[in-house]
Amino acid sequence: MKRRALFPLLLCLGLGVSCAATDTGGDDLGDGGTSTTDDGGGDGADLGEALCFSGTPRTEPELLNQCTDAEHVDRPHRIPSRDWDGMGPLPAAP
Amino acid sequence: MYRGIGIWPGLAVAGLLLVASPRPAPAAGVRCADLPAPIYVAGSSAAGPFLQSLSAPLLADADSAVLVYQHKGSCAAVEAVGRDVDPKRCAQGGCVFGSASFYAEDGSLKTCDLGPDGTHLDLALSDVFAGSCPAFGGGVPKGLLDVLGPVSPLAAVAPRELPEPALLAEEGHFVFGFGESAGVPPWTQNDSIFIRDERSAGQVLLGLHIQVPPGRFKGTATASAEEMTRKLLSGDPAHSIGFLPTSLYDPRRRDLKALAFRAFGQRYAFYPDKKTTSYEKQNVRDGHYPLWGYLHGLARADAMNPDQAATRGARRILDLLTGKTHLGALDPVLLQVQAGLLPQCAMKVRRGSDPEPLSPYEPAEPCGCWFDKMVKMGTTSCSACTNDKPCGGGHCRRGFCEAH
Repeated sequence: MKRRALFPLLLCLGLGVSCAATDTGGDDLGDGGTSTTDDGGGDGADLGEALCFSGTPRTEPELLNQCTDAEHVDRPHRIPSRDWDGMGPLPAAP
Repeated sequence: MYRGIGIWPGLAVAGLLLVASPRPAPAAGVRCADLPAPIYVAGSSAAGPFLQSLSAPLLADADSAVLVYQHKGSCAAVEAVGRDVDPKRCAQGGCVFGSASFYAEDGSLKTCDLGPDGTHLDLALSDVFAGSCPAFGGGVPKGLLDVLGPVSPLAAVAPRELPEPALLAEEGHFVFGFGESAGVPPWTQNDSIFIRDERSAGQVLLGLHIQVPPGRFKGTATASAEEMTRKLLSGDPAHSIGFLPTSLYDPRRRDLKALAFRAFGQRYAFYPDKKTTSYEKQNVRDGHYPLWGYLHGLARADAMNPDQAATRGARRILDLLTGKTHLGALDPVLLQVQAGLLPQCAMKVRRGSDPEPLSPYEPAEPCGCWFDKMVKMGTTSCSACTNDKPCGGGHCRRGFCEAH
């Protein structure tokens, strides 16, 4: 398996998130028992194994990841691995 | 001179409407200064539909005026008013030149000629804070009044035929920061990656969220949102991408699609709206979709009263932008909603500057229920009301029970 395909798979396995190549849906981010009960308060949204943040959002990461019934897209990035390893800082645009 | 053409009296009586995005007919010797009480506005194309909706009522108003608009990048318009420091002449970098647009009562778009030595702007409209503009990194230029209006979302857009549903922030970084050389499928052709310039609010806003400085975008430059739309529709549908304010994208949904956007630190990509088929901008309003800016009105401040704009024309439009005054029987906030803008009372998040992270927001007089109902194909589960009684502990606002 190519490296660019392997990284997102490992990331998804580590996060416990559904990793369909492109998954559009609208009903799996609700308060269905899969979301974290962390009420936040830190600088980030520590989602752990959860799909979304179900507490009262106070920070941008919590707002971005709060549970919702909205349609969403779940797919890994498609940046060639020669350009970016998927984890490190992004290279500056020339 | 226009008055001499002979059609002017009829038009003056009938009234002249404002600007918009369709390309206007060439100027035919019509001087903008000869229009009745012209109010000169320039800037964001996102505001075009709202300004257009104001035009007829402004003309019909007892205090009749014609809105004369020049589409410019938001930051270019902020520069035109920010550098206009001498009321007697146009200082370098200040004022607007060339031609501008207005609508005739019959709906036709007309152009008029601005002054040969430039025309002082009453108002600049910008989708970004002045501090986000390349020329004004230090914030609002001295002597300018900056009034926050409704929210204007931005969308990465592609031809409807493109199968790809989303743009991730890190992909945007490579697609717009490196162009085709990045090889991010399906956006692998520079002539199909459409960009604006560093003074366009769309490029400034998108750049902030994909970590590309607005002056370093790669792709094919377009001069306006209108040109970008044309190129998206006529280009290679399998590889094209651009960005538009949703106020201009929404009316083109039959031909274009908004891409869901996943920000850095976000687990999923979201559309501006709850569904690809809805218009309520739920994800903008609740913080799932960060690509938006406030529509700012920037005008020279009155020297004696720096909390108000120097010109009457600017004050009139600013009052309509903030919903402070009605225009006859018309509610300007409803006009904003119908023009694809989001009044702040419908928002649940805010930011204090464009780079600032989102934070929760509780408007003093929320209007989310009303907004949900008023948008195209809108529905709401909120109770209708005429007073606070049926609203439990909440309040009746704009005909619907709000939580507070």
